Amino acid sequence: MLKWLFEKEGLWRVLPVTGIFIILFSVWYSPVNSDTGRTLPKVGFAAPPFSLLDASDQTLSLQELQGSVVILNFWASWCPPCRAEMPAFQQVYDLHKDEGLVILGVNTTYQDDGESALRFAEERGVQFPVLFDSDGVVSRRYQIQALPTTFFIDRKGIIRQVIYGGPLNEGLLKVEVQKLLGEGN
Amino acid sequence: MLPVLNVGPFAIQLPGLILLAGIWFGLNRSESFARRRGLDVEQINALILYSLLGGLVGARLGYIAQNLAAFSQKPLDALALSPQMLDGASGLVAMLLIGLIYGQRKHLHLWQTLDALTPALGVLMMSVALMNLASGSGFGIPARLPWSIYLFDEYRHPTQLYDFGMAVVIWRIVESRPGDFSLPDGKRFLMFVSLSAFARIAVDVFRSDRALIGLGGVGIEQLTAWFILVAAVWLMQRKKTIQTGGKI
Repeated sequence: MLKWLFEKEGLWRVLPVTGIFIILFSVWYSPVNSDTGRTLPKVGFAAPPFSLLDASDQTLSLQELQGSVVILNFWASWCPPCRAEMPAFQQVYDLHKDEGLVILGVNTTYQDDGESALRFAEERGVQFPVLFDSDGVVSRRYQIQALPTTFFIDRKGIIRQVIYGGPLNEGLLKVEVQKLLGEGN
Repeated sequence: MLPVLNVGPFAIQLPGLILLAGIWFGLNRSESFARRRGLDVEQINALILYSLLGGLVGARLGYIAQNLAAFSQKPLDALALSPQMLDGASGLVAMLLIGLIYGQRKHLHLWQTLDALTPALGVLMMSVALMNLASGSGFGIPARLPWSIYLFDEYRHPTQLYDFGMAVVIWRIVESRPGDFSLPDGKRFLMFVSLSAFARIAVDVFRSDRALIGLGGVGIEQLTAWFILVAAVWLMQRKKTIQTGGKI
């Protein structure tokens, strides 16, 4: 095959021309932005909406946070990397909350103990909202396969980065957050 | 789509695992090819190893250099084992530089070395396609076909599998007849580049997440691949012209 291809002089000359035709064909054929507006837990898609209760039984909805940069962190109190990265989230929250950063710590309560989660958050001095996914609906909607999983959502509600696993460090969080905050409204 | 594989208490990032497997298998293939061509296997292995390590360090340094302020308070964060903290362009430049320096110092023949690396590159292309399948990147446009895959709430063109299929065919072509010395040096590598670029142009027709430029919706990757294809074909012709004393 290699030898045959090597000897086919004409084929190599035809390839670039065929390439041009394929590019032109794809402009006509591919329905550009066919996935625009779809809500999926994937980079480039709008973040799926949800409402959950926080520690004071107040409902918090993601849709209300449009215009803010949102970090959505799924965690559990028994998960060591989740515990390890919590101080970094708090540091970054302290640093950027006045610029429009919102961090939502979604506790996967359906596989955790709500009280332990709350106690852990208090011990670590977590100031950002901790939400409780008691029935696992939001975790399923976000297709959580491992803990921690962190979503970075821009001001338009589009998921810009998903990081599976941890612990995430302060430097990485700052870079991601500053990038999104720098984009303005 | 399976970005994370849960094995007991461990969450293994499947795309990373596939990449590592691809590098290992690719190294194996290049080693075998270099041996059959009578090249210095030790030097080829060292070239790949140093280039990969240099690329990794370069990618991290590039990332830190671009975000210096974020690491000024906690410099040790720069050493974290986060694959997200890598800058692809810096890594590529570092990898090429180190490869070039090593090659020059050891007086490696450029085209023969590139030919020896071609099987590894072929395997790497296959692993990239599988990585995309695992992570869900490079997904296809919605289509109801007997071979469509269900991804992101839609039946879609399995573009990652198209990529994989193309990569397998190209790899088989460029790895065949390793002992055939009638092919001019570098031809195998240039054929690989041309065919891979052509495959990129073709598969991108069915991709949903194409980045477009303002030329009536032409894909950036398609256009880049086309320029690479033209350059590779031109080089092939040029090599042939030189070899035949100006007569094609």
